[in-house]
Amino acid sequence: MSSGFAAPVAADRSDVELAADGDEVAFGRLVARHQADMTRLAYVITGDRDLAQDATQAAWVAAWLRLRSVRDPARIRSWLLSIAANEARQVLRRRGRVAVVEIDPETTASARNEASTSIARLDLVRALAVLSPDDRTLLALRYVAGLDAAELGAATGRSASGTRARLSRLTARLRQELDR
Amino acid sequence: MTEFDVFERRLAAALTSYASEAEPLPDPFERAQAIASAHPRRSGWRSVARGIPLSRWVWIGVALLLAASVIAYVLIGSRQPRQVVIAVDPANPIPAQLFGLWYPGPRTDGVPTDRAMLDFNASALIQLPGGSPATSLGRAVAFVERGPGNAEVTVQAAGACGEGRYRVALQDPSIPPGLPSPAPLPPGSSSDPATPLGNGDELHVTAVSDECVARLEVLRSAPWLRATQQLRPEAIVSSLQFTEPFHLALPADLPALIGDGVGQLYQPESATRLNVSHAWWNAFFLDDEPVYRDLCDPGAGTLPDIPATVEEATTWLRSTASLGFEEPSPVQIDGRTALRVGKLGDCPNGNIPAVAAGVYGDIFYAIPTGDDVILFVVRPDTQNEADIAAQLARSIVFD
Repeated sequence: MSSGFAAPVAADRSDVELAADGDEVAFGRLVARHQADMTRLAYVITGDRDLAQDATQAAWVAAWLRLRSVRDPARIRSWLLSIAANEARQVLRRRGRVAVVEIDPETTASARNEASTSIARLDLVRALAVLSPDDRTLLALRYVAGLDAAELGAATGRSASGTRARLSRLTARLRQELDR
Repeated sequence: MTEFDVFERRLAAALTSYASEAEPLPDPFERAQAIASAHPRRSGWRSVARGIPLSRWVWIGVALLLAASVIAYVLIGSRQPRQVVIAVDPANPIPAQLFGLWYPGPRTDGVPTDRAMLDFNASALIQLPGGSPATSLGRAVAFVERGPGNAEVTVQAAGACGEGRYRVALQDPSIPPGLPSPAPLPPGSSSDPATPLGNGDELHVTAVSDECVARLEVLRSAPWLRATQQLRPEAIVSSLQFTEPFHLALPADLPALIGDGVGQLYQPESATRLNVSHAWWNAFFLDDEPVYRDLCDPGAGTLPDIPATVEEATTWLRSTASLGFEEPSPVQIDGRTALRVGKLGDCPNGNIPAVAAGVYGDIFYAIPTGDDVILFVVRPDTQNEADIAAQLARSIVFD
């Protein structure tokens, strides 16, 4: 399946090692390579562009501080995405907002006319708005970032089978709401 | 986990589309440096750092940034305004040949959005994917000739990246490697290189000296290609960096002259010109440029700009009485009334009618923009090409 996210880059491995040793330029390359993915993920979770940027910024600070703890540099992408997801949920908690997904009338109107997306944006936004941040996180990590069950489990702190079961329930619910 | 079923594919497509509304952070390199500077790595901190929760680190980071700002303001800001503006060396301006956006090959249609681009005249040489400027990687500040086929651009950054020097050369991709480029055009022509940069739309950049690894990594992509957009039926193409931004919403019945299009749109030299380029015919959009008083005699002086109303513009065009012109005819363009005039005769001195250096034409559209006029100058060889030009003009939608 093709997602809007960049494919993992082989150069990540050496950049993670360099950045972990304090190389700011290597860290910059990691930011350049992954920040768009992280912002999009945070946007699906928060539903707000500013909050998504706040979360991404906090995630990069956290990543810089914890880079030495990365055990497998080849899996840096899912590691960064899980940090971004955590920060997005924390941003929501700090703001005391459970469902911040906002409906923008302009983009809604244009999206209605989009023939390419068979699930209308308005329906999607409404469905996201009633989901918990944890469920939005799961959806974004699976269907936007394309993580597999093992990566999802690692990112959300659950077992792979537990994650699979939760995702299955979630998609069944959305299928009922959106697949009409 | 099994493959996606039909509903999951639709869900993934809708979520991905929705996610793309997020705006990436500007200038990741600058951001990375700011984070790294606010959180310097010290081995003695490691054991302490591990015991501090992540959320507290975030607040510590914010506090450090604030403290750094206050200290910087007290030490520097109170004495003089904080400036990171780098002065461009007026003796070595960036040549017009390097104007516009350049993106790394291979050649593709339109301007890609997922790759870094170069802009030698912008406040940041490197535009990151998505269009945000990488100001921390510097801007082009000077251009120096070093001999035949050898020119250097100096790139300077205010921060850690510092200064780098790069050799640049322009090649014509239609000429096989090993063959010499065409001789430079005579001085005074619009495409006169006037420098040993070369000709063509393929830019080769090699490092002479640069310690900035991030900048080197981007610039070593080669060759860089001039941003062009194919004019094809139903395509929507932007006016790139033209002074009056618009896009062309091309009709479905646009005939194909070459491949599946009628040529390409690119910006060869400045923000005031936009070129429709094709092997057999060409056209220019022109704005805010001095124009010849007499279309047949460039030596007869210039007007400082295209006249500001469509009526004045057509009066000026038709004042070259020796050419003879049709009566102006109205053309509706994006809800505005433009005027079209075509020449009837030829210049008695044998010249090709020209409105400005290098901008030759037989048919002229004066198009109102609101408070100004842009000129669409067409030089077709056949009626078919004139009809295509008319379709292009009618497809303009101002941004």
